[in-house]
Amino acid sequence: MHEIEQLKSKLAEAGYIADADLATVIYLSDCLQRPLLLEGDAGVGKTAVAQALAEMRGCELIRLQCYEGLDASTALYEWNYQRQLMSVRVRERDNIDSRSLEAEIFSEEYLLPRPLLQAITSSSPAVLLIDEIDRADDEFEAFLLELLADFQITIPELGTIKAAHKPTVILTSNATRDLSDALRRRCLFHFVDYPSREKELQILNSQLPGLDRDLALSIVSFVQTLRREHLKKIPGVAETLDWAAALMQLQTHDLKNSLPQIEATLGCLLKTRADLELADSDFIGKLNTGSQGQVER
Amino acid sequence: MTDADAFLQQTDPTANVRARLNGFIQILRGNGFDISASGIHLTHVVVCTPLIESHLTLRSALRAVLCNSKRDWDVFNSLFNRYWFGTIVEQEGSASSSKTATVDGSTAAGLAYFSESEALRAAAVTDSADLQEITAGGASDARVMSQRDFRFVFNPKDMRRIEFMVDTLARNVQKRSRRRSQASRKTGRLDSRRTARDSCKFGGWPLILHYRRKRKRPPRFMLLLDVSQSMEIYSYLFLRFARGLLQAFSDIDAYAFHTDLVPIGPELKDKNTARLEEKLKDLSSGWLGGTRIAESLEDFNSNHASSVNRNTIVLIFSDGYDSSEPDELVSQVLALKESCRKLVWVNPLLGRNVAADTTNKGTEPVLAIDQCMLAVEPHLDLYTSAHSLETLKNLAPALSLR
Repeated sequence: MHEIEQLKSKLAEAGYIADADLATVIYLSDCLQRPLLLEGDAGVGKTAVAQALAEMRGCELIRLQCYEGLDASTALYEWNYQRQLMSVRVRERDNIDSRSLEAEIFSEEYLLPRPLLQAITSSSPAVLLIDEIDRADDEFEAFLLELLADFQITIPELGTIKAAHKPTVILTSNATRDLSDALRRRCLFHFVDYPSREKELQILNSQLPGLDRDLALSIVSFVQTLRREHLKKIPGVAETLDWAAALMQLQTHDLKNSLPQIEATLGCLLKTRADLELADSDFIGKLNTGSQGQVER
Repeated sequence: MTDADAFLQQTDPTANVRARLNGFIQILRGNGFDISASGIHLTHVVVCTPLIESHLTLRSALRAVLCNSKRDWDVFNSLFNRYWFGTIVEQEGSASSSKTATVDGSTAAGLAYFSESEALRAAAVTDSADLQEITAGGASDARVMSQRDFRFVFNPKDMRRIEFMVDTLARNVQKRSRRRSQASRKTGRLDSRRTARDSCKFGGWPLILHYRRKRKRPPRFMLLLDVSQSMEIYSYLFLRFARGLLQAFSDIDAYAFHTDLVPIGPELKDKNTARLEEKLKDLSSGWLGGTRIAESLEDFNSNHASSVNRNTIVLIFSDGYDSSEPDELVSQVLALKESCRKLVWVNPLLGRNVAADTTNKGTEPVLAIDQCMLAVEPHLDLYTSAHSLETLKNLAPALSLR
């Protein structure tokens, strides 16, 4: 389909190599104005989708990083208490009617908008990234339902605020816990897997244009082989990019004869002590030989 | 244009697809998909978009609308192809296909204790696609496999599948025990320090109260594995399961026993299969011989019990066949129970005895092996079976402190 191909190439221009599946879902999310839930392991490029979309459209990216204990006041809005207190103290002498004072201090002027309100009230369509939603509590998930279904937010003191321009909402999850059915039903779902060899090579070539093609192929083969091992943390695309950049810095031209460089830079790929302990010289040598075999094939 | 696309281009593709959409949704629901009324509405909207022009874009779009989880995601394409095209559409390469790449021949050649399975793990991953295959009628392959007693697995391919499933199960046990599916309703104790600090910005008024929740300590595990002759069929798979647990949990240790007690925790924690195999070869002299459970437990109680505390769950994997007197075993079990939080005995013969009971009701004599376990059973927190994957899965509740 022409539109999907166009979307793929535009995303590629913005620095994101998307497969047809993902491009179709983004297109559909746009058509149906539905939030998009991206699930997958850390480092596979979920957040980068939102960044690339914002760059592609030339619009603002509003990001809400979720964590345990995140509440509505941090995500939506907060009253500027200090300013309200100051106003109350200043007006105490003026004998102003308490009702009018209350109406004044609970007006938009005293409101501090947080990411969700910013996305709703934005003067132009924005991309709203709700990152790692699985880290937030389920109370917060329930709170999001109104926003995701109707693109509106209710503030008790002010009433309901409807989105002037519906933002493109992207939620990401590492699946550390199950999300509620209610939230899932309101979203389109896409699982972002580790990239295939070809796709990872494309990503490497597009992100690091100065990288030698043969070295890029060796790096990708090595990482793809490494992902099949029993690792505590499987390296994602971000780690591959970091490692490739580190090897470039060390003037590495081919992996075959660069065991010291590989050992020195393996911290870019392996992020836990147990994984690093596993990767001794024998292990790396074997992995390197195996991946070189794949390159030659 | 593929055959599949030609199908979609018949007279009125939208009407054709919409007419069969409900049947497809019924199939998905039958395969565990949770599809709401709004989901069905959305699928009808999707088929009215230009995405219907190609089966690939239509499949991607329906997948995004109808899937809710990774499990749904994994099986959707195969169900879609089967329903709409009778699997005439070949599976397109996906990211996961990288997992099925061939394995280095040198590793495959060194078939031994653990490495055989390791070398062929990739093949088992390929097989796992079959395991996930959904059948319209009877039980799937995976289900049959999970219910089969380990002693009846003779085919090496089936054994590899079981090993792969044991590994996956061990990893899932960790996930299950750590996953927080619901936020706690308990607010905890008032955090006066944080509340006071935060009240500064409100002129000293404590407008926002902060609470502090007590952090839960994860349990410590102690695995005691019987590697004697009588456990020959099962000890290999239990070792794999133990290895999976050791690599999944941080506060865990393991010992193997036959006539002696041998610490195997550091060895099993090693992820390097070749190294692990070498270490186990050194340790395994005397394995698959006789059993002295009571003496082994006595050795553990007197020399290693310091690593067991009230936060420890002790799991004993044994058939309970002991050459010593039942009373000796009972006294050692009681001593061990005093120092740990929970004592779980996993006996692979348990399920087998039940199966025998159903066929030979009342005729089976009480064996010496049963006498040992009959004496010990009242003192255990949990006495469970593990002769098949299905029963091994039931171990998950035993791995919590409650």
